[in-house]
Amino acid sequence: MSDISRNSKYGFLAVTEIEGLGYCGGLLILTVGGRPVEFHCTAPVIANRAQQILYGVTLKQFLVCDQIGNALLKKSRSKLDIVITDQAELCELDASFSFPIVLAAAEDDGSNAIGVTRELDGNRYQIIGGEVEQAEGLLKLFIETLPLSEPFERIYQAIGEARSDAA
Amino acid sequence: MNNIDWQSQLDSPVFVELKELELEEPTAPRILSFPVTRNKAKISTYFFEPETALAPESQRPTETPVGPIAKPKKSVKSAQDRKPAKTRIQPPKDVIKLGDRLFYMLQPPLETLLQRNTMELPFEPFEFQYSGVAFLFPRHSAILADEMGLGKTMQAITTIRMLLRSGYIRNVLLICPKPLVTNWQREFRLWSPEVPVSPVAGSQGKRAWQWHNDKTAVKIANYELVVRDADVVTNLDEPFDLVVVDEAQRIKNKSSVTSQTIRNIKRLRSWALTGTPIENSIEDLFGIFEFVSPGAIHPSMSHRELKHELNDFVLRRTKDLVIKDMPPKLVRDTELSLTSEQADNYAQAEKDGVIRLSEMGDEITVKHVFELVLRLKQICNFDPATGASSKLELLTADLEEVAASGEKAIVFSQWVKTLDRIADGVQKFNPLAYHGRIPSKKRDGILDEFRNSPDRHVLLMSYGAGAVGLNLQFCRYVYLFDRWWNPAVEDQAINRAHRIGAVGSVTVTRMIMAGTIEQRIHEILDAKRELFNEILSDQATAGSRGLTRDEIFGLFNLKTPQGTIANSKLAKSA
Repeated sequence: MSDISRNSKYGFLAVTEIEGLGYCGGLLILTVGGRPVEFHCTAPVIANRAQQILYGVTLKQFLVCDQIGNALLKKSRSKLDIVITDQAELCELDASFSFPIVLAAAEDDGSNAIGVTRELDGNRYQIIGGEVEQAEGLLKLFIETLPLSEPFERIYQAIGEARSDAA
Repeated sequence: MNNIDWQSQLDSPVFVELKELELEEPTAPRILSFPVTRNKAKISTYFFEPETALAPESQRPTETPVGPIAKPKKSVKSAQDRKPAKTRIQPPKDVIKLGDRLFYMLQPPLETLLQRNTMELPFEPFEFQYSGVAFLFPRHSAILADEMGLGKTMQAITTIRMLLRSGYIRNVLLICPKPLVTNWQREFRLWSPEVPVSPVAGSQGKRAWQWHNDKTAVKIANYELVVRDADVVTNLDEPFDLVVVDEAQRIKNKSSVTSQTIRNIKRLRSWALTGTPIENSIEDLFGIFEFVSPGAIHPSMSHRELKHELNDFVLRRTKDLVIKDMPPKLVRDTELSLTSEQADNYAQAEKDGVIRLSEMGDEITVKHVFELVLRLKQICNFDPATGASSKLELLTADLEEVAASGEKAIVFSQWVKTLDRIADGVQKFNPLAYHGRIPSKKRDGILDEFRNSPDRHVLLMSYGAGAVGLNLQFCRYVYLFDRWWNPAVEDQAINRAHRIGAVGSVTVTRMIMAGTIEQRIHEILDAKRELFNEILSDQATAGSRGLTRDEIFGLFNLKTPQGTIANSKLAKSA
């Protein structure tokens, strides 16, 4: 278990579908003050025909989590203390990662329920893996500055910018 | 066969014949393989240094910041008190590199940056002010053209402070009108107390030393001084990281010495602050752009192209748009009748003047008409023979009420002589005067006394000296004793009082003598004000705001030497 400190690094992980192109992922690594340290984003990933047939209903999970999420996290140069995602598909990351994984849930309609939903200063989240106590401490520190949902806006905007640059 | 035979048969070895048969190999089933490949996602990576700088690495100065920028007081704001964080810094179009663009996009909201930078602010900025800072922060070329009173000064200072603290810039030159130098110093102390500020002043030798050797982070110089020191300031070895021009309408005429001098100052960033980017015509904006981003806009551009370009360079907000709870501004146009003495003198002067102008034929110039206008306007203020004045009578009566309620009023006129006469007439209200004949060093003291002394109820100001930059939001009454030629200047004057922090509604009284030249000018100016609002709300091309040559001739229904005046409104009103 790593220490909770002002030097802790938070990984915000998100994947978005771009119509006709596939899935693009982004990992934004922030300080506790919300300042960017690293940003990694993927080119669009699209399933081939074989994958579409063989993965069936699990295809999205495969692409989003296995292909994109894990690959992005392995690119991180910083040692992450916690990873927060806004998508349930990204919660089943490689078991070799030791950090807690948190699903930031905008609304608790039960559709994304994996664990127990908690709330802190208006931020709803579920701690999926790792040390609950450590995760809570890290989240509390971050939420003092920003809501958990805010960094995802940055990721989606940055992915869009990277895409328009590539186009 | 007997039994023995059976026994012998049983005892004999069994004959087993082994026969090997070769079997054919079974046919192998045909297998089709579909390898489930793991697509290797192509990943782009960007690294930032969050705690050392707010600027993209490629755009950061190589030298460390100079000047003793002290650590500011720690913010005492609690999490509960903090402003909702939603103002994002967006990269301007001239930031091309994707990494740099992402750097800006991936920054947290401005409110968080300020909070985390422990930059204590004396007051919580309005949301639109955060947006203004977010606009200026990444821009090398920018015009902040907010309407007067929305806090351009505060937005510029806060951004400068952030840029200095982030190491993005290290030396700033701020150029402003002379009367505003102390105001800027005061605002810096308020909004950025740890940033050292040094006004450029003193003898020529001292100034030369300052330009070359003074490493203070922010230098403030007035326009006239910059022109005087042109040889030095335009030939410094190191460029300024940022030059800010306040009241940038002063450089709208690109052929003026002031404009040329300022454009020749070596700099990396150019910001212009002005409440009236288009004071007379769209040409004004071209002039300001020659400083901000030469060539970015030019007269041959189509309306669409122009609008497109302006969007990335110019930020303009009006009070109506951004401050829903701003105290109301009540404008009353008070039409007065001339006193009998004034009426007689006025009629005679107009008659004589028009006859004289008519007799001039083709020799007539704008200057001649202008002289008549000024003469008539002066009579509208005071009768030259007797000193009778309907305006003064109204003003005196109004000031009784203002003083009785403990309020304060500002009275504007274009003439110092008129202000002197008003002063004589309103002595019992302890008037103070602030105009071009008051030495600069005394002006701050006058404003302080007006602000703080409960016995001082009236400040008499000239448009020239008091129209820009001053914060007099404690005044609830503004009188325009006579009208300026340009609505923008009048608006500037009114907005000394009607600005952020105004203590209540502000009543503006515009005095107009019925049936005189003042009424004719008033009608033209009103029409222009409408046009200007329309143009600026759409950032479209502008027509003239002040009186044009034809309009001045039209005041007396005269023809220009080149022909008749094509202005139906003028013809109607004249």
